[in-house]
This record gives sequence, structure tokens and C-alpha cells, in this order.
Amino acid sequence: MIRLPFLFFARTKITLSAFAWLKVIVLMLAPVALYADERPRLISTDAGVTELIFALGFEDDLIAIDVTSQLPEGFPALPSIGYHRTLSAEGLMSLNPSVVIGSEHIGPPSVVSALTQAEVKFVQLRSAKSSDQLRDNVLTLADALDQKEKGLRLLTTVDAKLAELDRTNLAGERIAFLLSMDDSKLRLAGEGTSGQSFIELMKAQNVADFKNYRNISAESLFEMQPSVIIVAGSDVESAVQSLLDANPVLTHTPAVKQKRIIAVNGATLVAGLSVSAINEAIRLTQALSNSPALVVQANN
Amino acid sequence: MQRSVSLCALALASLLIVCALLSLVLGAMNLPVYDSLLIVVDKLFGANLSQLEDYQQIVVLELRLPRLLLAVFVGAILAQCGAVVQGLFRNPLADPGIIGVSSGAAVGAIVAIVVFPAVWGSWTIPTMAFVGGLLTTLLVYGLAQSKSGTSVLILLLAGVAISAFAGAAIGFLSYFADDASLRELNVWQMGSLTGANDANLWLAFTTMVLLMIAFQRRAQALNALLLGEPEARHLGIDVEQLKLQMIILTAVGVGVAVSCSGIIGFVGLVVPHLVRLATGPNHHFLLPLSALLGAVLLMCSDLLARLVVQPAELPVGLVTVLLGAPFFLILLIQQRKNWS
Repeated sequence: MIRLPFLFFARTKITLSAFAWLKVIVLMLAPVALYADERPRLISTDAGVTELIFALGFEDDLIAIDVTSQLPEGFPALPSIGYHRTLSAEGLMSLNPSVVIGSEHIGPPSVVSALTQAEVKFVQLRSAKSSDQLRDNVLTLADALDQKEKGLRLLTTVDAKLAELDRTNLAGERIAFLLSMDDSKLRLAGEGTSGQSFIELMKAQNVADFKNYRNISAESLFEMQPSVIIVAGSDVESAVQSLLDANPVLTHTPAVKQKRIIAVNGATLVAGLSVSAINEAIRLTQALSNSPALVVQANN
Repeated sequence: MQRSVSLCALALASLLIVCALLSLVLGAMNLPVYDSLLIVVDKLFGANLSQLEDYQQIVVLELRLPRLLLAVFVGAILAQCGAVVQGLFRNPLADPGIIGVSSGAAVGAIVAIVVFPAVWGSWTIPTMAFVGGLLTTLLVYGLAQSKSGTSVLILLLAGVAISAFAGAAIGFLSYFADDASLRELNVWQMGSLTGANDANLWLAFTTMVLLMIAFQRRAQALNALLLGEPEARHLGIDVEQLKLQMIILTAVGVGVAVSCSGIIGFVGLVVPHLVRLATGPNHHFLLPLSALLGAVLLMCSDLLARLVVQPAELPVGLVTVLLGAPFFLILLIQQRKNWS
């Protein structure tokens, strides 16, 4: 694009009037052309979206993220736009974004309408509760950013991983998915949670039959007789041990007796399924099916 | 006395104007100062003076202006209600929350968020909050009734007990809420003026004007009540009637404020207190001056909330408490010196 004016300049040596005309045309075209050539300025308002942007390789166009999004270590810090349900329209507009990408919960509505009036493009992706939804999101986002081939490429990788999960599945296992934030409380994942989606990825069954996350007593967890316990925590190294220390009764569950209790990196599941969650699921299923009698430590 | 009042009124009015202009001009986006002000003139008088682009006009006219107006209305309502409640209870530590409005409204809001989200669209939470606040207040008032009239002490204690009960109800409901609802409730409880739109601006404006008139007409009676209930009765004031009217007016006022902007703490507590320190307890002046100062305080808080963590913004209720709590402590410490 930068060379274009010089090209016209070279031609204008022929006649003076042509030079004048071409100058006008160049002046008229240049800003439009430069604008069209500019890279998109992306704002992600959701952890799952941020993760997807990185998986698709659009991270260099990212200019701001929300409070729940996590950037990989070493990635330069980005401004935070706050929480995705209480966005500030003016704050977003001050960053001069071209596309704002978020979940279906993006809001409040007044902010969305103000930004739409200011001609900012919105892309809303449903939070990925299933691998199908994740595949959909990959295509939708890649399409919206005119990078369809990148989307298809990522989809091939994802499908290969899903096929691998199909082979190493844990069908028949009864899994308890615990969110470990405070070891004295057992927060069990029920229906509609990322934990449930994770269990479904591995084709296993969730021991919980309620909705959302719920604090349960060690006694009720014991009664559910899980054959596998997954602990999602921030500190993967010590999650299993500190959970057992705080709730010794769990050592009598089938899962702990057969040493089938595993820690996962909770960050991969913050906002539904993601590519890294699939990787994590593969790691778990392999570890469980290869050596059933082993306390599997996460390798982060 | 008269002079200090007019001085105060003048200072507050000019502060209000300065803050309003600052709120129009400052924000996450850098806009030309004159054009930002001119666009408001354009809008009002149909002129064509401003050179702002369309998207910049949106920022001033549809984002900054409604918020600033809502801050003025809600701040004025809350501060007046605070002044009335403190007069009614003859207790400078009372705030509108003490008759259970805020906690009731919070229960209404969480029922709306958790049990039936989006029945009436975006009006679900405000309506439920309003109804919850009003019902709780009536319950508290009903509990304080006895043969010998309304006991202010029981009113206060019942308010505390019902608030505690409401806290438990919120805890119970949040136990069954999913993470998104929890977060929404959390944010709602810290208050925000983001939701300013034509409908709630008119609602808040009408409420503010009606309350101002109603309170001002009862200022004399409130002054008499400061002497004590029997004394007020001897002066020919129907104390029971006054209490009932004041409680209902306050509940409606705070209910409207809460439904427009969530729970905003400390304005109703600190503002009347400050005005009383400056100009004395005469309700004729206390009420309008509180309204002015309340408007100024909430507007400044909202300005701070918008500026501090841009491009994000803080909940405004957080800022009022952050500003109000230390201030209130200083007041308490000063009063302690007077006691000893």
C-alpha cells in the first residue's frame, strides 16, 4: 500500500494535468485503502473467547480483555475492560475497537446498542458446553474475522483430538468433579457446568444429579461412590493431597481406594470447554487407562 | 444562621454545576471540551454549534448525560430520605436502610435474578427490588405497631432483625444460584448508574420532585418532632400520621432509587449529617441542602468510578462507601471529643 503513491507519481511525469488528477484520486483513495488494510482491533469479553482467539492465532490483534480472561505467561499485559455483564460503553469506545467478541451474556443492553450505533461489530459466541458448540464457535469466530481457512485448520486439529478421546474413553466410570477453592468445602459440579462438559468429553457419567455447582458434605460424596474423582484447582501439584487431608473419609471411596483421583488445571475450564480442556481430558484419560492403580499427578 | 444557609446553598449549587460540567467533559474517551458542552446546547435548543462526530455525540448525549442526570436524581432522593429517617428516629446514625428498604430490595432483586430471570425483560429486577423494599418496610412498620402507637425503638429493632433475616434469605437463594447469577447479584448490590435510560430518568425525576414537595411541607412537623414525641403532640401535630407518611414516602423514594441504580450506600447516612454540622438541624434548610449535597456526592462518585480503572469502571456504590466511610469515621471521632 505504501508503494502505491510512488507508482502514481512515476506515471504523472507524462503530463501535468494527469498528475493533478491522479493526485486527487490518490488523496481520495489513500485513507480508505489504508483503513481497509488495517488489522482488526479485537476486544474479548470472555475467558473462553480469549482462549479461542489464542487457539486460532489472532492474539496479535487483541487489544483488551475482560477480568476473567487469562493471558499465557510472557504475553504482554492488556488493558482490562472489567466484567462482561457490566461493560462500560465509553471505556470500550475509547480503545477504538473494530470487533468486540463475547458470550451471549454480554451487556448491559444499553452498552451494546451504544456500541452498535458507533459501528463496532459484535460477535457473540455461546459458551461452549459441548464439543459441538466449541466446533461451532471456532468456525463462527474465524468467519467473522474473514479467516475461514485458519478456522478450518484448527477444526482439523480439534477433530483429531476428539477422535483420540473417543478411543481412550472412560465409558462406565462414575466421576465426581470437585472444584477445589477451599479444601474444607467440597464443591461438586452438577449439570450444566464446565465440570459436566469435561466429564462428557471423556464419555463418562457424572455422579451428581443436581444443577450447577453445589457444596456437599463428605458424607453425601461418600454415598455417591464415585469411581474416579477429578479435582480442579489452581495449584495442581498439591490439590489431591490437600483434599484428602481435609476430608479423610474420602479415602474409603472406590476412587481413592483404587487411587483413581486426579488433579486438573482449573484454568482450562473457566469458561466452558476449550482446546486446552480437550488436551487436559486426553491427558487424564490416557493416564487413567494406562495405569489404573496410580495417583496421577498433573504435569500442568 | 440565615447567612450561612444561603452561603451553603450557593456553594453547593456552584459545586453541582462544576461537577456536572466535569462529568460531561471527562471520561474514558478524550473528546474536545467545548464541542462536548456545545452538543448538549445543540440538543436542547436544536442549534448546530458542535463539531463532534456521530459516535462522539453518542458518548456525550447517550452515555454521559443520562448518567449524570440519574446521579443527581438518585443522590437527591437518597440524601433527603436519609435526612427524614434521621429526624424521625432522632438518631443521627440512622440511614434509610434501617427500616428494611435496602435489604428487602436486595431480596426482591435476588429472587428476580435466581428464580425467574427475565420475565418482564430488563424491568424484572427493578420491579422486584421496589416491591421487595416496600413490603419489607410495611412489615417492619406493622411489627412496631401497638396500642399506644408506633414505637420508634421497636421500629429500629424490627428493622435490624428483618435485615438479618433478609441477609439469610439472600444467602439461601445464592446457595442455589449458578455462578453467573451470583456475580450479577454481587454487582447489583454495589450499585451502578449504567442503566440510565429515558424511562427510569423520568421515574427518578418525578419521584425526586414529589418527595421534595412532600417533605418540605412536613418540615415544620419534623422540626417539632425533634423535641420529642409528646412535645410534638402537644404542639398539635398528629405524630402517628406523620410517622406513617414519612415511612411510606421514604420507602417509595429509596425503592425507586434502588430499582434505578442498585444499592448505593452511605449517601443517605453521611450527607444529612454533614449538612446538619454546617447549618444546624432545621429541616426547612436541611432537606433541600441535603438533596443538593447528595446530588453532588453521587455525581462526583460516579465520575471517579468512571475514571479510576478505565477502560473498565467501578460500581458507584463502592466509591460512595470508599469516600463516605472514612469521612464518617472522622465525624465520629470528632463527636467523641465533644462527649468527653
